[in-house]
Amino acid sequence: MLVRLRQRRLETVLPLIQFAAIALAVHADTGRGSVAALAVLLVTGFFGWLRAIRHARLIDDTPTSRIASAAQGYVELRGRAQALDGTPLLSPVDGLPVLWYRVVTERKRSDGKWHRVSTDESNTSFLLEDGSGTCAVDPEGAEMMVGRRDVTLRGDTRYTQHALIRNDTVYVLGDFTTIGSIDPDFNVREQVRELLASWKKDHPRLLERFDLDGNGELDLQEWELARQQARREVERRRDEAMAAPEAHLVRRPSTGRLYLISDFDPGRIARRYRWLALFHIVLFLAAIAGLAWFSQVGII
Amino acid sequence: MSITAAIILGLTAVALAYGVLVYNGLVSLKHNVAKAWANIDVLLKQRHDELPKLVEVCRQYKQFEESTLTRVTEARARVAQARESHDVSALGAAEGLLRAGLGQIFAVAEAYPELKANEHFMQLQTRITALENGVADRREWYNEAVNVHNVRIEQFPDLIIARMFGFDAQALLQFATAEKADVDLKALFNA
Repeated sequence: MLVRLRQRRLETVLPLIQFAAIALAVHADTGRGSVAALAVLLVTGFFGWLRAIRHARLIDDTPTSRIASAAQGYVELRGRAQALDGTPLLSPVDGLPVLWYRVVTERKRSDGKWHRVSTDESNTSFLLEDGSGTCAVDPEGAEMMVGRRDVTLRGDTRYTQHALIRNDTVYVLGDFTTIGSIDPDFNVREQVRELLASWKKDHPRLLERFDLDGNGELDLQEWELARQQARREVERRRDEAMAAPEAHLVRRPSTGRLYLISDFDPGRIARRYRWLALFHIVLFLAAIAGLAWFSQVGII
Repeated sequence: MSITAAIILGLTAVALAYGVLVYNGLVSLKHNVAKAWANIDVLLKQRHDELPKLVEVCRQYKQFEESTLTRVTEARARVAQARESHDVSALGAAEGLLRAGLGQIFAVAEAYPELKANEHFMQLQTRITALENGVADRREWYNEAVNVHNVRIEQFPDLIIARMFGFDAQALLQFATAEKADVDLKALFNA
């Protein structure tokens, strides 16, 4: 469960540290070794619980947005995965088209145990469609929680591939950005003021355009004409920007919040995080009990 | 320290940390609702700026009854007031009136080729319709954010923290029935 839940960073490292600490606590010859291992379990158990429960709540509490009307920033999206235009991404194991893959290559040792040789992961973006629109998903830096798993054996080499393929229902929690859209704070009045200020810098050109009576200066009526022209130009620019096609992108949040891509149902992902939280809390409480016992027997 | 006392101490630490987590979660949900509101608000502001131009263009054509244009202008003011005071239920009602009024304007415009040939009117109609569709889409997300917030503050153990720190239920944005009803074109043209 743990390997499938998280193949990277803390969620992998943390249980490994904890299993090592449990092994040390059980096998240590000296009481001090066991106490150190229990202290590690205490800290990692608490930290792991806090992290897992926070992630579960984040998944439960983030409302699902539609791509067409999603706000800029941290969002939750669900839709069907599609390939971006261009050369399709092919699986390095079987050559079939995929949208994302992670391939773990293992070799069989002489003692019969499998030994990990390499982990290869794609970072090509793919599209997400939810009926209201499409957006590109950049998998770089994402926690990939992918259920589709294929194991291929070739001689003494084993390839384990996790992959997303076309039409998979994909859940994404990340930072939503729209490129090429009009700024939501676009203020016509302010833009007109800025445009007029820029025209003022080129005084001869301004006179050429708006000094209708040719007296070398702009009177009130001529200035009003210039202001109206500036407003028309700003509105035209705004309309052009609004009519221009927008490109949406989901990527890793710069704030360090969870960036998750999965082909599981969000309820199931949250449940997995809650199970992980339970695992960590059991370790935490066991470590406390162990330390209390060592305290009672006088080792601490 | 006995093992039982140590476990109780550990559980207390977990409960305290969970309390902080729940509080932060509720604050985050409240911000989600505010963000969803701001997402709608920006479109309402843009539409607010466009409506006087539409009314002005319509005034040039005598087939528009003054009462329809006045109703749109009044509804616009009511939407603005509700938006500024963040009164979600008043906004829903005012939106209903405004959309009904705009529906009438656009329905009348369909029957007049000279108006349909007016480029400025057509631009405004396209823009206002796009903004209205945007508001409708974003309303879904706002209501989803409100729903998540309201469910959380009624769930145990979150409701303890919610009551302790005064997290109140947020109002859903529901447009008045007038907005959902079809425009009666027959009655409109017979009038």
